[in-house]
Amino acid sequence: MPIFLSLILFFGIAIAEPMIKPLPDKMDVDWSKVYLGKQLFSDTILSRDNSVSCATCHNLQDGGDDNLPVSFGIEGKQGNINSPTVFNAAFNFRQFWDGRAKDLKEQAKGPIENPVEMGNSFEQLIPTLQKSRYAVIFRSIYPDGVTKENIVDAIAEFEKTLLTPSPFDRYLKGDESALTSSQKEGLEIFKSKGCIVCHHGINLGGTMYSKFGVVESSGSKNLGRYNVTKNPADKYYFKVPTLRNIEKTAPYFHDGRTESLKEAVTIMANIQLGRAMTVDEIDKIVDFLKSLTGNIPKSVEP
Amino acid sequence: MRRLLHIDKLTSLIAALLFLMASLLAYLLSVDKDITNFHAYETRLQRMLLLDKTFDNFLLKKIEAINYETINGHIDAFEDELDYFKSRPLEKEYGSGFAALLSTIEKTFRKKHDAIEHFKSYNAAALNSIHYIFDLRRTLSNNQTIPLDIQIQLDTILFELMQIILGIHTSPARLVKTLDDLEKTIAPLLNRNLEYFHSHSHALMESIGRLNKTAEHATTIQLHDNIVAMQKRLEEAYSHKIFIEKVIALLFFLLAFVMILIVGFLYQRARKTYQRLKAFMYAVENSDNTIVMTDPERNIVYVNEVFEKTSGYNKEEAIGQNPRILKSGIQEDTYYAEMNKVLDQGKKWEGEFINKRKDGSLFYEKASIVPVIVDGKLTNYLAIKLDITQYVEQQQKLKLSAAVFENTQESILVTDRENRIISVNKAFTTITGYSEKEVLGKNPSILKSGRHDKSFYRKMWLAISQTGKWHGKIYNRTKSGEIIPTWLTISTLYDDEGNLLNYIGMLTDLREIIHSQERAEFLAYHDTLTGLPNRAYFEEHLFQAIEIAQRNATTLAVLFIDLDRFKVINDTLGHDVGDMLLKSVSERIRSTLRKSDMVARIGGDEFIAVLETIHSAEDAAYVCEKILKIITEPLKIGSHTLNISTSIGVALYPDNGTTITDLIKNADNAMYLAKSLGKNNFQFFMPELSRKMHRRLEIEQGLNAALLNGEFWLAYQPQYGLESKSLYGAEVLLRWESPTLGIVTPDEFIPVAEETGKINEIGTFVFEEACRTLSIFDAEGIVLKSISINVSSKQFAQKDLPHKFLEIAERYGIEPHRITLEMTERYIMDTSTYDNTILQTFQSMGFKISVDDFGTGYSSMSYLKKLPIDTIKIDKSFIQDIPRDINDNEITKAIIVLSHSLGYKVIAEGIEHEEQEKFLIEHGCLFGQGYHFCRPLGIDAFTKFVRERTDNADAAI
Repeated sequence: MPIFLSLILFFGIAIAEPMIKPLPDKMDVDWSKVYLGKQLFSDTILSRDNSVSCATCHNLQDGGDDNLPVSFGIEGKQGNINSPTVFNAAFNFRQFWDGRAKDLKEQAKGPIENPVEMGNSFEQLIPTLQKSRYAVIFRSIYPDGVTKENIVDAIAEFEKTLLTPSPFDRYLKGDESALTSSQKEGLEIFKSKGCIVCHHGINLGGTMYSKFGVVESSGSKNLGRYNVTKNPADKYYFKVPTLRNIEKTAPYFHDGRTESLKEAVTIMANIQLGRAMTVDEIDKIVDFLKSLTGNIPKSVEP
Repeated sequence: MRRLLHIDKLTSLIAALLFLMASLLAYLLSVDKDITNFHAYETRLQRMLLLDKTFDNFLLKKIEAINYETINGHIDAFEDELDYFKSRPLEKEYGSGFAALLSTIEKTFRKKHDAIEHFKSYNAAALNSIHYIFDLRRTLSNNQTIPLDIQIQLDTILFELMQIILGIHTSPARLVKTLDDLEKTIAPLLNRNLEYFHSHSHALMESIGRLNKTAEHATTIQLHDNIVAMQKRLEEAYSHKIFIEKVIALLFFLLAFVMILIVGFLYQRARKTYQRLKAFMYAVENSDNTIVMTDPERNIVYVNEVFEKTSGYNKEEAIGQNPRILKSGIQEDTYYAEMNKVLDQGKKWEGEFINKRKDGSLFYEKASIVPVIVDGKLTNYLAIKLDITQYVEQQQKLKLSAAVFENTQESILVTDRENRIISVNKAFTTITGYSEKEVLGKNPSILKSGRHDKSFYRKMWLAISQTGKWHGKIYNRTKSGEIIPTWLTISTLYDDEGNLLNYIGMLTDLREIIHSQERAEFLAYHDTLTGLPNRAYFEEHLFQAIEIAQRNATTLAVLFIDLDRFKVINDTLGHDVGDMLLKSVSERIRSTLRKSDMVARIGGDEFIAVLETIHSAEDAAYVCEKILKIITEPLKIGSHTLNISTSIGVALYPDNGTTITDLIKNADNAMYLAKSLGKNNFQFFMPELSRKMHRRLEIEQGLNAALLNGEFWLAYQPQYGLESKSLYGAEVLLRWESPTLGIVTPDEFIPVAEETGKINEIGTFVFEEACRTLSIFDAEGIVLKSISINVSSKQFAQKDLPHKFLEIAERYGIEPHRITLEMTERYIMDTSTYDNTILQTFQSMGFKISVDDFGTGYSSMSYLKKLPIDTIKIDKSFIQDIPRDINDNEITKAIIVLSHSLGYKVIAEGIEHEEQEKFLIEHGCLFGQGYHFCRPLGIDAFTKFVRERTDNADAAI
């Protein structure tokens, strides 16, 4: 059938572009900033009452998140959204579920001043840091010492180093044995069923916004990107998250609605793709997704 | 100074020019930066356009599986460009409007970005639908239960979907109809896959619709136009700016060009000035004047070569110094103060300096000092000085010459070449009596005396014309007619070409010289006081007289006349009286002599006369008596009436000598004889006299050194008790052994010593030596009770003699009573002229007084009684003939008795025989000394002698 053939050909050409790329071997960073950022990342000094650090919600020893449906900030305040992993976040085209931050630096400003997260303000934080041991370190790196920009710059610089190379990356670089045959089949399903259309790029995600519930309603309470743009067309649009380390970052979705990866995949097939998938197919996809679990970044090691 | 001004102008101009150039450079750099910036903006705007192109391209890619990372990267890049522009001060660079433009671009970009995001989402969704539809279609085509018409319907839907996707159909109306048809057709089949197909196709259709709508909407977004607008605006603003910048740069250039022209012009002028200055400098350097320039503090900053020559300081030494290094100190400080006052007022000062060269010599300078004032400020002092040393010295020489001319004792007259007097000096007037007025224009012949004949003057003028000179003695006539001898020196003055200018005549008045010569001659041969011939004249005369006497075999007498006690008169009444006395005496002597006899004064109060051609000594004696007589006549000088006498010695030619020397010497000796014979008499020379006088002179000379050379020594004559033969004392005897005269006896040298006064030293020596010996004896246990020491009457002239002796005795620990002072009877008797208190002083001190040589004088016993005497010593002349001479025996006996009666101790001297000793004992003289007992002994022998006699030492005195 010429039409189908042409269709196949059409898509074939389209898919021939490299939709997925491996993590780079290393990032070009300023290591003194990284060192400072690392300390700041784990230091509760950033929070108003000295109770919460970045690492509180982004546990670097595990998946770079807190394995909670929604996070808790200072004084046990509950957040309204699931905390995404900080690993490989540098490759996200925008930060936050609703993409309101352009980059890591902009992102880092958010939680510090968010009343339910660290509840602090830079007006308070800067003098605090200036009185602390950080003042010297800041001055040694930044001519202007402790400033809002420099604080987030150091943290962002540190976050750039939080890369988690996985078996899948080895596979992408040509190591056929890096994936099991089941995982390889899962990858094929991942591609052919259309997952890859949204979850692509280095991070297998983080390149675009997508409506949560393309085919069926997701039942989300959060309006997503609409909160930012106030454009009705943006309702329930969220940043497509990365699938790296997905195995370790349950619960899933912005509202942490499920603890099960298999269920999450099933939800995706139903409400995003609007198609039924066999249990076998889902298992294989889950299998494949586990190949995205990477090693804890070297820079995290104390 | 003008040059300095120019240089200042030039310097500031060059500075301004440099500043301008630097500004221009800076400006050009800023322009260059503008250009670079503009190109950067251009490039970035171009890049933004390209990015916008990729956005448009992306929006065309419907239904493509795309890795959005690429488009995300482009969006980030665009945002970066926007951030870049936002960070640029565009409005500052290009004027207002750019912020608005940029904001428009940003807004449109945001819109486009939104569209792209939506496009991404819709595209993904559509793609997945297509995926699934394709899956379903494959599943359904394999399903045999589905009727063919449905199969066709499904294909139609797919076809129409494709047409929509590809944009062949823009309206979905047909597809909507087909889908509705399908929905009705499949409803009864209850096939889930068919339902899925229907619903997904529907969804896809809507998706594609949204996608197309989004893409279409995106095309309406004017991002590209906005960027282009900004580009255009930027280009316009830039070209405007560049135009202005070009204009400014051109202005800069023109200004610089103008300034370079001015600098060039000024440089030309400065060059001219410089050359003028160089010429000026050359003139200054080579000027005959000394030129010194100082700074306002008066430190030398410049001197020329003349300065170096005149002052002796070179430039290096002078520069930095104050000109006062030249100050000689001859001019008063007020002079310099005056100068400074003028200079401080900014005025020129002119004057003369007497300065000092480096070598210390003086030089004169005429100076003119100007304070150099530039723009109202004192910058320098300039001194222009002329060395006028030569001029001043010439002036001084001229002055001196004039003074010499006027004041010299020589009379000078100057004539012109026609021999007319043009100038005479003061001395000329004095000598000739003619004033300058009277002789001016006249010929010097007015002075002719007439004593010289014509040939004299002819010869004179001949010499002058040949040699230019003449000198000689010439008599001239003064105005008063007096003819005076003169010494005339004529010299001729020529100019440089050898033309005769003047004659100069110098007249020396010989009157004075002739008179002086005569006077000098007189003075050479006469005594100034008395006018009598002096010794030289006398000797000359005597020489001639002797020659005449020799030739004529006649006798002549030389009289040596010496006033008695003249010295006393001179000392007591003064020299004036003495001089007048001498004048009178010389007149008196002169008056007693014949005219042919010469009397001369040869010193103090000594006159000498020669009596020519006398017949015998009697003639001489006669003259001597006349002289003695006339001199003894009382002489009244002033208020004094003087009685004087004279002693005269006479020597006769040829009997007493044939030479001047012998005659005078012998006359002198004879005079001494006369003196010794009591003065106021005359004596003829005797040969004996000559020898004695000689001996006496030798002794006198020998005594001078005898004490110092230790030529004196003491001998001790033991004194003993005549009965007991025991030694009790000794008489000290002085001995002199001269290396030239041999042993000289005290009789010979004591009178000489007394005369010369040497006796005081000798007496003290004897006394001290005796005391010293006695003290040694005491120390050595040698017993000597007393010692007798002879004392000369002359010693008593020393008023402190008793104390001196007492002091010496005490010094040696000798009690005065052990010392007997012996003095001659003659002295004792002579004390009439002296005070005898000195003897009493001695006695009161404890010294014993003994009268020596008793019996030889003319002692009055009654007088003797009054004297403080302890012992009488009988003279040995009485003892020596005892007992043969009865007279002596009697005298001795009388002396002994008399002495005893007066309570004096008696001692006899010169006992040589036992009979003498016996006689003396017999008549009561218990003490004695003499060869019988022991001769006088030297100290060593005496010591030995005493020791032997120690056993008998305690004999009573």
